[in-house]
Amino acid sequence: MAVRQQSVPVAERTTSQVQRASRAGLAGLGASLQTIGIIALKELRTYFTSWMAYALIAVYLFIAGFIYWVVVGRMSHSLPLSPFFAELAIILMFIVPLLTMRLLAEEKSTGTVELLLTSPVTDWQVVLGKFFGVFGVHTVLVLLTAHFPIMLFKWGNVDKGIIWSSYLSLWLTGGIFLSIGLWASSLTDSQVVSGFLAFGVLLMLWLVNIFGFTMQNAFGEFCRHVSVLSHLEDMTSGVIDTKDLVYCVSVIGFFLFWAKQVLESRKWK
Amino acid sequence: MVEVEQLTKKYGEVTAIKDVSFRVERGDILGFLGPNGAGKTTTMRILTCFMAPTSGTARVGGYDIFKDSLEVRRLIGYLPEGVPLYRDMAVRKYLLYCAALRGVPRRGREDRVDEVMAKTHVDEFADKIIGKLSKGQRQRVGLAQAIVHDPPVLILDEPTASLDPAQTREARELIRTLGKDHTIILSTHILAEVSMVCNRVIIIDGGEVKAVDTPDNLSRQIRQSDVIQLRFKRAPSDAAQQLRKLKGVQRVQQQDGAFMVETSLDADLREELAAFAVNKGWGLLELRRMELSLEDAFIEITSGHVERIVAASSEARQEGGTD
Ligand SMILES: Nc1ncnc2c1ncn2[C@@H]1O[C@H](COP(=O)(O)OP(=O)(O)O)[C@@H](O)[C@H]1O
Ligand SMILES: [Mg+2]
Repeated sequence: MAVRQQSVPVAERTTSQVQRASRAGLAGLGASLQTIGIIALKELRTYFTSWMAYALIAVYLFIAGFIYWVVVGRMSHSLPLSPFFAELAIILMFIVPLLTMRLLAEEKSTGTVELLLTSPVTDWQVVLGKFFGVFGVHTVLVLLTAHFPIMLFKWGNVDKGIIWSSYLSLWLTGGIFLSIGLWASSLTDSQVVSGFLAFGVLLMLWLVNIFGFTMQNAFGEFCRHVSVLSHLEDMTSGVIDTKDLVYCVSVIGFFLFWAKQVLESRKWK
Repeated sequence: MVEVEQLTKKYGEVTAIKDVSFRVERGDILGFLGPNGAGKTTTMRILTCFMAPTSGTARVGGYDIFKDSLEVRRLIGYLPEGVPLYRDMAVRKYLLYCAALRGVPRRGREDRVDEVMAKTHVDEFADKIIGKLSKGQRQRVGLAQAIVHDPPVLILDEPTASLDPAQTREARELIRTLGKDHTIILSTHILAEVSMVCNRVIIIDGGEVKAVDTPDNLSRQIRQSDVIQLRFKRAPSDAAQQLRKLKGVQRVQQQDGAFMVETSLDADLREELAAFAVNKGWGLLELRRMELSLEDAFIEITSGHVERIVAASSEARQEGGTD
């Protein structure tokens, strides 16, 4: 198409057409992102207008503080932080289902999903909006634990690279967990079922990871291979590999896509 | 404005609607009348692109519900059955969110929401949490969100269900007002509601369209006589025979201890009947004019004969006790 247009005599018009087309495309993309933003912001607000987000943050900070004290504080300030981050990831495993269980299940059980999906929005926009909304809560959670390593910056001597990469890893681990939680929430209209389903899947991921580095047989080898979390653990060593990042985003994309498919399937039931 | 062509929807084995076709012209207030399970909600969910039909198609404002689903949804304001709203949001915040989601530009969004709140009389509780509102108030918020993006078409699924009589009256008035600027499709299982609000009626039963008409024609078709229900404290055994002999009475039936007196249409015999019962000293306990229940209408429309089984359901009970 583009090649043929080049041979058209009035080249100026062609370029302006192309420009206009891309501008229309950009405007469309902008509007689409705006819709996702509107939904995400609404989700974020919903969390912070109920006691839920505050309670979870309080519990998270308390446990994180406790672990920090046990793992890091009692030892020399130069020890690696990875156990601290590993423990934080485990807490996420419990917190994420509590955050995500309501995302779609609640809308389905109260019927508000009908108003949401009969608004001029695509199912993708709904799923992405919900995801980024809860991802925002998670981001707040992660940022609030930042003072622990900052204390280490001040008083200990730790590799800053390790801290940053560990934080990135924690942030993305949460992203994967949340996408799984959102997917679980798309499957049912019961928040309890959705929460337990998400927790079950996360527990399995965790077990696979454990088997991966404790068993030395073929099964252990297999587990090492399929383990989602091991990619993230690699990151805590201070090296950020784009392969790991791509992998991580793909896993999130996979579960979000699945959630969108489930949401769409209502049409044909 | 809305063209529906041979819609069929099957849930597995269950056929919810079958070959439903109708048209709605601009400015119409169309009543979708049918008992529970008739397929009203299913049809509306298909029109609003929430679900896809098994076969058939529909267009709203010329746009196809499959191909231009987003355009169709821009043209529609929808109030689902049971008025599902986010209970933890305040009314104004919720309406602002709906307006944003449906593409009302940021500039002027606040004004638009204020305007809509005034129109639906929700401005008195604009900052209250939706979960704390009464049913009638919530219903009005439901209507407010349906019109917030000023859509040409409104689809309202049982908009007066489970309201008390006063709230029902208010809601109907509001819908009639909205009918001046919008094309409306509303579903109901109350016959009287249709004649109060709508200018066209579709009767649907068992997933099939049984009749399409104006409310006047429909009730003329249905109502060939009036029924008055009487209860006495001391009715003699031949009370029915005695009542039957009165002038204007066509027939008398006994049902659950009450007498159903059928009279010719427009011959209001309530005064005569009361006087008669008092004279005889039967101890008149109750006297009221019965409205036809929808089930009766169906029996008549679908079976075609005039004989009517008067169910002991009155308009008042239908309005109050559906929940
Ligand atoms: N999600 C569903 N799955 C299976 N059957 C359904 C579903 N929704 C409705 N039905 C059936 O379809 C028929 C029509 O239902 P509906 O459209 O809700 O009727 P109405 O709104 O007129 O009461 C009923 O027989 C109902 O049981
Ligand atoms: Mg219904």
